[in-house]
Amino acid sequence: MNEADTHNTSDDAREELVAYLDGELDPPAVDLVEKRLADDAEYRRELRQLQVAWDMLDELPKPAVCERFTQTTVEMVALSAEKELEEVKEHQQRRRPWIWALAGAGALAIAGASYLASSHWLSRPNQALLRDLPVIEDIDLYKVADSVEFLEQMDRKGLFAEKGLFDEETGNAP
Amino acid sequence: MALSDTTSQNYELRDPDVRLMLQVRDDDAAAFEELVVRYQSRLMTVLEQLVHKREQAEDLAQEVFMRVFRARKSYEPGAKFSTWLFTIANNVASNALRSMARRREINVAPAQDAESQADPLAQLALAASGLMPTRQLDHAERAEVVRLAIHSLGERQKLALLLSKFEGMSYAEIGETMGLSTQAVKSLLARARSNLRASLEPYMNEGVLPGSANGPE
Repeated sequence: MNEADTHNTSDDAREELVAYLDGELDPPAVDLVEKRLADDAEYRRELRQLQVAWDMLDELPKPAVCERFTQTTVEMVALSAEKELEEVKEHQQRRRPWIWALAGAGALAIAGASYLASSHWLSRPNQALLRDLPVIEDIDLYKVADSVEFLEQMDRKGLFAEKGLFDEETGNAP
Repeated sequence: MALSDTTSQNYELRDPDVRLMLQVRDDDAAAFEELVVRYQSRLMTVLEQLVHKREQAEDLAQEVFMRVFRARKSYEPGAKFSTWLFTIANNVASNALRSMARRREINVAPAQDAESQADPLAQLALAASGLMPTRQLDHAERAEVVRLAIHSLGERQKLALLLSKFEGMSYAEIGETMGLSTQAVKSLLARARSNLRASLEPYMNEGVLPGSANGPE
């Protein structure tokens, strides 16, 4: 490729000249190019030659598109659309059992979680009653005691061995 | 949505082809056919110069339209339709050219003699000036001279030149199509036009071209 190095115009000046021809310069840059064109014969010559070379591109024959191009293109696209539709259907069919399985598993999980939550929260008062049942059964005895320390002494002496009022390891009431 | 509603609406209002593409997005087959009719010659003009073979250019143009169709559901008007279309064309052509280059590497070309390896433009000039030095080149020959001059450009210079000349794209639009900055397009086009001028200069200077009203002084 013969680069146009035989011309004296610098790369920057040539860029400005081409952009000038393409209408891509702002007004101050246009003024600068036009001022140089007025003063520089070589710059004017380059401008003319660039323009002539540009105009010669019009010599290229306009491509005559095959008559059937539009038809074959549309047919290709129609076939592609059909295939696309089939693929979507197949995909949906393949996904359907999974969707039902996932939906069922989800429903079961929700039901289980609901049951656990409700049984936990709703039975709290009963759980407390159950836990305190040994105390409730002997409430009349405990009423006569003055303090917890006294009851602990009684327990250590085995008075409540059967009842198991205090846990032997932790010392906590059941 | 990546694009602002205002941008999309602006392109929709200003560009009738954007409106057609939006109809294609809604599965309007007639709108797609209309776009094919409107753009097939324009695409072929660029693609044929890029790949140098008409049949291959037609195949690539169809591939471009196929990609347009496949991309319809995700289409959002973020540029003129032609800019979007030629961005796809640029990708398709680049892939094809890379593929062709790989094939050339594999299929080692048979050795050619020195004459046939010479610059075809120079050969054409020699033939034209040597055999009939004063005659004017006819239209077919002028077209061949220009075709060879374009052929001698690098791929990017060629595409930028073709988009500028035949699509009338601005530097910003060419930049968007080719993934370049506006400044890079400015430099690229300056080099392309300078190289084109250098290739065609022998014909311009010798005045062998007919209709030399536009020719050098």
